[in-house]
Amino acid sequence: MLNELKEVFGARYTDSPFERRFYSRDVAYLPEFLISLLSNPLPDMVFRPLNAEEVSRIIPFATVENLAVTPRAGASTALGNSVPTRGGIVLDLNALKGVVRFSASEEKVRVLPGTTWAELDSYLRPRGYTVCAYPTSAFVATIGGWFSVGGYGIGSIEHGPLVNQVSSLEVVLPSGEIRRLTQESEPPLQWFAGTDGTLGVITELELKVRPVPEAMSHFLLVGKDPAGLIQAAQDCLAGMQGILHNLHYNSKAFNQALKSKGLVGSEPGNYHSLSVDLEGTRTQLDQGEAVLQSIVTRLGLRLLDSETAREEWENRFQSLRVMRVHPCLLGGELLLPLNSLNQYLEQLENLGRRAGVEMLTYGHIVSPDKVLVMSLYPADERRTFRYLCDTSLIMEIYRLGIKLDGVPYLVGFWNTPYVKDIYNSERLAELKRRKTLLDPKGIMNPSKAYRPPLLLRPALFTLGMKTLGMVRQIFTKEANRHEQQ
Amino acid sequence: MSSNKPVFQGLAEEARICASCGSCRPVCPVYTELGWESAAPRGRITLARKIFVDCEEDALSGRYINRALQCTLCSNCREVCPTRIDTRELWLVLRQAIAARGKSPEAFAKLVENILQNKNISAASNASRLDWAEELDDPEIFTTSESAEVGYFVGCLASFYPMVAEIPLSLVRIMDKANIKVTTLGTDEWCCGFPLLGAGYPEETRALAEHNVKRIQEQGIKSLVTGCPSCYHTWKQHYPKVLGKPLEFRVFHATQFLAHLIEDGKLDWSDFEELDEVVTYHDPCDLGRNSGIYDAPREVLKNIPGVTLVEMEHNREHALCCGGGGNVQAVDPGLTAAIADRRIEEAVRTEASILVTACQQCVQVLTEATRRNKAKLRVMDINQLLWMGWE
Repeated sequence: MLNELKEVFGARYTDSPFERRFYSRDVAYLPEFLISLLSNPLPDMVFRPLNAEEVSRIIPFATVENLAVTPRAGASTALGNSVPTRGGIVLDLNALKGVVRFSASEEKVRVLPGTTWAELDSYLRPRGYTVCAYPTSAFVATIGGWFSVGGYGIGSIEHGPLVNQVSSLEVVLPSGEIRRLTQESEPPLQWFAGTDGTLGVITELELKVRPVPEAMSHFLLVGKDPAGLIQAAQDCLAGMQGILHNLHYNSKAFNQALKSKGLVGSEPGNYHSLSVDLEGTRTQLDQGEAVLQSIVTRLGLRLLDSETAREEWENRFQSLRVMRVHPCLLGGELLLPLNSLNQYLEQLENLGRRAGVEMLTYGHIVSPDKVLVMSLYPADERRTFRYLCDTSLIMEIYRLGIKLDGVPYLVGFWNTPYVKDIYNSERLAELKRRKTLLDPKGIMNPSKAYRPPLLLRPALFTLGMKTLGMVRQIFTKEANRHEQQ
Repeated sequence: MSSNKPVFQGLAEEARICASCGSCRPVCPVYTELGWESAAPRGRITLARKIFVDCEEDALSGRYINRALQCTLCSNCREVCPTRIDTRELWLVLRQAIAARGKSPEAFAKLVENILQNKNISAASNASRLDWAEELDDPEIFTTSESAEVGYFVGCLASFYPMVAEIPLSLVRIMDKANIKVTTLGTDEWCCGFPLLGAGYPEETRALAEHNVKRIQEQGIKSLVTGCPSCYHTWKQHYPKVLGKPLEFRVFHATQFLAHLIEDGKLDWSDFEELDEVVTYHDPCDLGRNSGIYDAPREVLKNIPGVTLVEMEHNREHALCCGGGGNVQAVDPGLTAAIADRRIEEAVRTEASILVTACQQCVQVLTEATRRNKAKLRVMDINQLLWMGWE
């Protein structure tokens, strides 16, 4: 069977050790010994299929040989969502790229899963249309990939998560069958949203698109503390429905870090900030601006000049520029109730102070009551043991968020210790039922989404992290003692 | 205001700063053709990190070197890098590290040896540098290196490769038309050194820079015009660095010079025969992304009577590469061809009759691609197109 596949795929197949190595990681940097202790991220082979039929030829081979199948496209997450855990096959879906059909009258586009969000938008814009929502990693994140993970980003305030915008999905099921699913089919397409490609391989999606709005306007509010900005965000959500496209918060520490390298102007660099981006007709935007001005006045905030606000908007894909300040960052991303954000930020600052690190936070408000918040702190991956100890703070960030009714965003591999925090028991049982139903042999992206492997089981994982955390405290005390001397 | 300028602080430092986010991958022409992660900029940097941060010298394998050199230096990756890495500089320094370890490919070694010996990239003697000028009415005008305020740095490709010899002829004829007295360095013109930079031998460019600058000054040249974007970039960016001082004369790319001639009303259009052509313009990487010159060629095109400019889907800072840069043709001609084919496909979609560019290497690579693809499209340099109306 493998020989037949090799013949079909030709130069789109590899088992070269040199090539395979590049498929054993994503954005995260972790010591190789640690990864090897917990999983086998090195695939045995990589295929680059061009269509659903080719995918469906690989699946039966994987089933017969009991090989894990890991779908991969942008690989732009840090949680191992598209990294193998037990070798096997990587399906590199990047060649499944392009628009299959666009209908302006239906406001729908059928697109292949390896198309990036930036590529799709570049296709739509000259035709007068645009996507409803997109990730801040739009240059690399693919349509299929974002559907398979969270699907929250810019534009979600108005349009919700990506799953709400998808009207049909073509998938290759673990049985090898190619199916077209809808919101009402059996199974419905929703089963495949946010499940890390553990139920099948997505080979086409049909999405809702919308006409390019007549105009946009950008505002940047700054304040000395986050409370006023959070209130401003809530007031915007209440008073600007229909024109509110994006609300993005940066902590003062995050802005200061950027300012230290000239990556943000001096004004926003000294404050907490809130970007407010509106879209609609010019009249609507004028009305929106008047509403915003009254919010700013009432809350005693400051509105920066329009050029600075526009620059912040243009930098919306560039949060990673903070790595020019701190080349190595660890952190955690949480989906939090917006009401809890201020409390979270206060407690996070305390956590950072206790731990001797500066917490750099930014967040996207993705619905009227939810914020997707990323908290980062500097580390040094070159000092392997110290780095491992530093990872213990991620658990503390998550625990802090969970206490405030938040959940870690995305599961992948590295967040499997938190699955019981992310899903309630009924939901988790239902997810496992679906997995067993569609993938009884468990070949699709194993050890993701549902159940942690042994060493990541909550009790063992918590013990390990707490131990590392205690060692970390010793490091911190030692560093403080040196500083005082 | 914040700074969006790309930064390069050293190979190891930038390899650490790289977030491995992969934004560079969809825009990389090499990855687009080869499709493997190892061919993407983030893949190359991942292994560079192993080698230069984690000190795993074994990772500098033949396979990796091959991947490192399969880069056209187009800088598309630099345009999208959220961590602001000056990736072009990174790729050049990576090539230097490979050369310093004696691991450059034979093709590069030959290229370097040839330039140092012949002072040009061809196998021919530098004495034949002015062969292209024999087609001029007065071929002797450049044989004596006369003084003039305007100097034309012809470049190796235009000097030695008959396929693109029409380009320098057109440019000097246009200058003559504008009553500009122009001189060249004659057979004393040496390669600008760009291919040496691309091969990882920056130090070897010093002697070439010193020689060329000395000759320019001896001839009293105040404005130097280059037809080749890579020469232009080397003169503008590299020479002041390698010589440790600013140049004492101005350097223009031919498109800038032509745009000035038009703006100043120096060209007499009375005997110009309207062209009636729809053209599309290919931004050469070293002129566009690497030197920031997008408007001058478009200004020239818009002013040519009878020429209508239609843009390709990818233009200006998003322009696709032709595949001919970064010495890739020397190590992987098939890759260059595949990249060029993709650009031709896009040009054909505009339904233009002429694909205009402003680079001899682009002209050469894209012409071959049109022949290979039997595309109904003529490829020419902007100088050739302009001269056509007076021919």
